[in-house]
Amino acid sequence: MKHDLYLASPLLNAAGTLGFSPRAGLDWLGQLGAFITNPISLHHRSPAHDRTLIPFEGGILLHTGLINPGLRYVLNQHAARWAGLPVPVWVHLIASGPEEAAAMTRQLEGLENVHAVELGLPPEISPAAALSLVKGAHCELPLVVQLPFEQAAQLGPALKGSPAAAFSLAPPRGLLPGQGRLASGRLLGPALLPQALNVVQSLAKAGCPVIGSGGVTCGDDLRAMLEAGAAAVQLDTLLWGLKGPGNLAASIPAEGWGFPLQDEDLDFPPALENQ
Amino acid sequence: MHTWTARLIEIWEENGARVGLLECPADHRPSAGRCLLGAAREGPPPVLPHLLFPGGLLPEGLVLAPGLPLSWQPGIELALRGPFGSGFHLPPKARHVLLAAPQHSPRRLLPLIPLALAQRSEVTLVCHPDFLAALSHPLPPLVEAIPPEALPEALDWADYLAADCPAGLPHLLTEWRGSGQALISVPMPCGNLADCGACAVNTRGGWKLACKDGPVFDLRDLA
Repeated sequence: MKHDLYLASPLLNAAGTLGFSPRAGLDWLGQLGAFITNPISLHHRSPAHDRTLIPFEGGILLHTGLINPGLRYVLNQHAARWAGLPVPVWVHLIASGPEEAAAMTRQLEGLENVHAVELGLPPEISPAAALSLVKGAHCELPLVVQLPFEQAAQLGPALKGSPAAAFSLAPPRGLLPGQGRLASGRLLGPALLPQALNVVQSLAKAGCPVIGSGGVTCGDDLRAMLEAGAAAVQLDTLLWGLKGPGNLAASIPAEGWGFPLQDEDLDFPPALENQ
Repeated sequence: MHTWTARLIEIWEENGARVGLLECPADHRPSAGRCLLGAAREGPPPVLPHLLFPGGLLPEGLVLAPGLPLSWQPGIELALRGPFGSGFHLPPKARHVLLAAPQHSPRRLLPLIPLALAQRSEVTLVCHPDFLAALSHPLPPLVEAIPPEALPEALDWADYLAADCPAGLPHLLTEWRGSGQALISVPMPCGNLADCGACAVNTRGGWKLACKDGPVFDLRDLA
């Protein structure tokens, strides 16, 4: 049985912002339509030796190497907790090839409260390699494909018709001087909003279901993302602030967001859509 | 993940760095080496909250160690989260306590002094004279302050070492085989919310996260 993407709220956390399972006591967790895990690889990944954090006006450059203990360990430690969360779980996977992607997604099928897989595509991947990876990850769970920001406008349309149910955006990459060298890393923060809106709009115009992300810090930003065509919005550094998403949920419009339901085998009555 | 608020009573400079005094309820005060995240309650929020360490205790409140942002002014209300992380654990049987901040302000080690004196330990502080002279309040008379050049001799004397060396631990300290701990200075952008990995520290037991397992680590565990 294959399920559709369903969200009770268009607010999501971006992968890497709330851990492998959320910390206890996050009283705003229920504002999210789903909890997205940190990126998980098949095998353990050590942190990058040149990890760095460099603030700039309106954002940060962050390079960590996507440290994670590997899928088996994560499932042992967190799957039971996922089952009891008040929001659905989307598991973010990073795979080195289609076979590995298939091996990983198989382990997620049937896990309680796991409602989707988000597959991170590596930077500079070719459309053919991306399609192969997406096909490998195809499983019973809806598949959200996280596109490299710089290639999103090209890859999204190229992957239409693939098993991807929707597309999300990885943070753009950048360079900044720091620690006596030019440091490379992901860019996060409010300064990215204009670029993010542009990419979201171009994907939406191309007919791609897209989850926006990048620089959303207030209700106006959220509404702009939805107006640009995003079906939902991922939050990043905002969640590391002291207020979390604050009262962002109050800015969610009554309609104009969410994914169309296409499958007959729904877990949720259609009447619940977008509530 | 409790968030609370407190007023910043006073700000002063010590050797060019901004230090503050926070009106802080006793049950929210971080112990030595543990940290808080803080941001001004009013105005646009920073991209990330600021990492704050205790730098001493005065009758009026908690001293925040050097590094306060320029935008903060006396009287502002701060939103705060924490304390989090693992701080210094002074062994109850330690009799010769050595606090070593040879390269910068000793502020983050000062909260250990009253604890050590309360258990009748002798305390020696290794610190550059410029930083010592900049401290707003004098050290207790029972604490001996010595310059960094005297560190080797002090290590022979100590039975517990607490070190704070943001630029990296000198070999002299990493090779020391006594009981000791070091406060590791790494960025902690997620503030223990995400296991983001930015604060990963390589230890003999594998990779640890400073925001969760540290930022104070046993010297013998540091690889």
